[in-house]
Amino acid sequence: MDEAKPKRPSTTAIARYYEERYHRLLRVAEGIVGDPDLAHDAVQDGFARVIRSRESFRDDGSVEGWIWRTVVRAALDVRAKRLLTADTPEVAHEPGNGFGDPIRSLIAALPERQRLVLFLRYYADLDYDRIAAALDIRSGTVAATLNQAHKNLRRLLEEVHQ
Amino acid sequence: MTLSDPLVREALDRQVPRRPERRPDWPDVLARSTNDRERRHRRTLAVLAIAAALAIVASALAAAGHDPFGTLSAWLNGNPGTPASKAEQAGFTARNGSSYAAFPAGTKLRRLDQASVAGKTFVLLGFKSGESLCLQLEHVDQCVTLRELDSSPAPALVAAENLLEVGNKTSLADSIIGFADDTVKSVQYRSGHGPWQTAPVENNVFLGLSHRRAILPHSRLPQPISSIDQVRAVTKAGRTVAVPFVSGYVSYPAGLPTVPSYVSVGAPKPAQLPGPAKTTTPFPGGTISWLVHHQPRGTAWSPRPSHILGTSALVYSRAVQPDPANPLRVGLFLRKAAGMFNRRQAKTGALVLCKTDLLPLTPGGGWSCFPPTSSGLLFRPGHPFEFGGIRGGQQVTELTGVAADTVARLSLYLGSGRVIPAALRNNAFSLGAPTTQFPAKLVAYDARGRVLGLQIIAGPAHPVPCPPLQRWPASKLPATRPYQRIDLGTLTVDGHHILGMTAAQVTAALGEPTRAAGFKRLGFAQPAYFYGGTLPSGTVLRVQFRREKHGAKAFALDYQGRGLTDATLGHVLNLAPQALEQSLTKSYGYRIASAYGSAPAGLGIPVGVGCSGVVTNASGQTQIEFGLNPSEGGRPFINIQSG
Repeated sequence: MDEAKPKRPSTTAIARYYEERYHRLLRVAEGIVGDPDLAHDAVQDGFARVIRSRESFRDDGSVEGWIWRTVVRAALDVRAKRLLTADTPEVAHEPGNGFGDPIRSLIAALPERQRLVLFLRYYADLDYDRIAAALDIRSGTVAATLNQAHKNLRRLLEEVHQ
Repeated sequence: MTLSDPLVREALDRQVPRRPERRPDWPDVLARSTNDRERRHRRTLAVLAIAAALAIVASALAAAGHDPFGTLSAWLNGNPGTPASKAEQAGFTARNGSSYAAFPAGTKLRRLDQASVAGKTFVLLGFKSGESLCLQLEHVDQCVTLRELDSSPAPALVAAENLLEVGNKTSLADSIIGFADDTVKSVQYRSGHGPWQTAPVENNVFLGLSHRRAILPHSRLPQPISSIDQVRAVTKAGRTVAVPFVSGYVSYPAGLPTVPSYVSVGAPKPAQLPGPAKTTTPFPGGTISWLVHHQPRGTAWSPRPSHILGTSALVYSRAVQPDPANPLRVGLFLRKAAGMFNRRQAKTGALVLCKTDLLPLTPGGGWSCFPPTSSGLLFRPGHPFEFGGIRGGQQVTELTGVAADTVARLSLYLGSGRVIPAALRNNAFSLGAPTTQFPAKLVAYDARGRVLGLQIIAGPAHPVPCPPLQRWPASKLPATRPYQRIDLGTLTVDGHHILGMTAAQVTAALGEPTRAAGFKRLGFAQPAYFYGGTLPSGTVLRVQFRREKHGAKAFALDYQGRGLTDATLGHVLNLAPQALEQSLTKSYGYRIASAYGSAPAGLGIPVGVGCSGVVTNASGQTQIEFGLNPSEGGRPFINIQSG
C-alpha cells in the first residue's frame, strides 16, 4: 500500500493489507474488546466497512491510517455493544479471586486514548505518524500520550509488584 | 518513548498474547460487506447450533434432576472437621481484616480435608457464614449458598477448580474442590478420555488433585486453568452420577464427545431463552438520585487512587451491600469523565457512574465505568441497568451491577429453566448462579411489573461434531503442481528439502513464489512465501520462515487444496482425516500426539483450528497437524513444522 501517494485503494490492495496485518489488527482489537472472538469480529466488521466505504475515500489522508481508524472504531463499537448485551464492560477481571488478571485491570485503568496509543504502538508496531492518522490526532500528541501511558502503567505495575 | 521496559512489555504481552492459531478470513469480510446469502446461511447455522446447545443443557439437567442434593451431616452443627492450625487461622483473620467486605469477626476456619500430590500436601479449609458454605484451597476461596446446594441436580457440587503450583514452577496440579451430600462416597474426575481419578469425601467435602508437568511456569501460562473435563459422584450404594462441570469455559453436559468435535460459542436471541423476550415499556434513561445528590446511603468508602487516576476526578462514593447474607459490597462512585469514552458519549467533566466489587478476603481492584448520556443521565435510554462484570470461578458465575431508580427488581432466567432473583438494594445488585446452566437472560422490571430492559449473558462453549470431508471424485481433482508433490516421510517437496532452507534456496527449489511477504519489515511480520495464490486463505502452499541470526529459514509448510500428492499416500487432502492419521502412523511411523478431533477445545494443540489432529516423529522435532477447518466450510489442510 503506497503511503507516499494516498489514493483510492483497490479491493485487492485492501485484501493484501488485511492478510498481511491480520494478526496485528487482531491484537489491537483484542486489547480494546478483551476477547479474541469478538476481536476477530471487530476486524472483520472493520474491513467490511472499509470495503463498503472505499469509494468515498478521499485523496487527503493516509490509506493505512484510514484503515486503522475504521478497525479501531469497529472494535470500540463491538465493545460498546458488549457493554449492552454481554458480560464484561470495561473490566472483566478482578484480582485476587484466583481467575482474575490484575494486569488487565491496570491497563484498563489507563485513560482510553493512552490505551489506544499503547496498543497501536506495541501491538501494531505503527510509527507516530500512522498512530496519529489512525486516531485522528497530531503526532506530537501521540508522543506525549505514549509517554504518559508508559509512566502511568509503570507506576501502576510497581504498585502491584510492591 | 521506548517500549523496551521489560515490565511494561510483559504486561502488554500478558494482556493480549499472540494468537498464531487465528486465521484471517477474507471471504468472510467480503460476505459481511455485502450482507450476502452466505452470511444469512451462517447466521441460520449459528442459531441452530445455539438451539441444539440449549436443548443439550436442558436435557442433561433434566436427566440428572432425579438425584438432587441431600443432607450435609458434617455441617449441621456448623463445625465440620477439626479446628484450623493457629497459623492458618491467623492468616485467614489477617486477610479477612484487610478487606473492606469482611466475614463476621471471629469466623472460625476449619480443616476439612487434605490430599497430597508429588510430595506436597494441600489442606482444604472451610467455614460457614450465614447461608453460605465456604471453601479455601491455597489462594482460592469460593462460597456456595445453601440455596444453590439445594438446587443442585446432582448429589455433589464442584465449587471451584484451579491449577496449583506444586514444587518447581512447571510442576503443577489440577485441582477441584466442592461439596457432596451424605449419600456420596467419593468424587471422580478425569482429563479428556484419561483414567478416572478418585477423591474420597470427608466432612461432606472433596479435594481432587492431579499432577501434571507444564511447558511453561505457572506464572507464564496464558490460561492457568485446570485441565479436568468431567466429574462424577460415586454413591455409597455404588451408583455413579454425572456432576455438572465447566472445563476451561467449555461444558460437556452430554459427556465428552465420542465423535471428532470442535467447540463453538454462541449468544442466543432473547426468544430462545426462558422469560420475557422483549421490553414492555420504554426506558427513557435514568439516574441514581441518592448518589447524584450525595445522600449518605450504604456505608462510607473511597476508591483507591488507581481506580480514578487522580483523586481530583472523584465526585462522590459509597459502598452498598445488596445481599445481607453475602458480605460482598458494591463500591459506587461518580467521577468526572476524562478521556474514558469518546466525545460523542461524554464531554470532559461530565458525570460518569463507576463501580467496583469489594470482595471478602481480597483487596479488590477491578472497576468499571459506564457510558453516560449526552443529557447528563447516568443510564442511557433502553439500558436501565449495567453490569460491572462477571466474576468468580468457572463453576459459579457471580454478577454484580447497578440499576436505575425505576428498576424495582431483576431476575436471571437460566437456560436450564431456573429463575434466580437478584438481591437489589440502593440501586446495587448481586446474584450467583451455576455456570453450567448458562446462557441466561437478566431482566429488569419496574414497580408495576413491566419489563424495562433485558440482556443476554453467554454461556460456556459446547462441543459440535466436525463436518465430514467432502471427497472429490478423481475426475475432479486438480492437476498436481511441482510444489504439491510431497513426501511425508522425508518431508521433501518435489524432491527438495525445504525446511531449514533460506529464501533463496527455497526459490531455487520451488521457483519464484506467487507472492513473498514480510521479508523487508522488522517487527512481528512473519516472512512467508505463497504459492498458488496471494492470500493465506486462498493459497495452495505457504512456506513460513523464522528469522534467525544469519537470515530467515523455512520452518513450516502449510498446505490446502486437493492437488497435494504424497508419493505413497496419493491425494492426502482428499483422504478423511482419520484415514490420513492412520496412514501417517502406519506408513511413516509417526506417533499420535493428539488424535483427530479428540481435543475439541484445542487445548494442547499448538496450531489448532478445532477439527484437527497432530502426529510427531520419534524425537518430537517434526510435527504434522492435519484436519478440516470448520470456519471455512470444512476445508482440509495439513501443516508441517520441523525444528
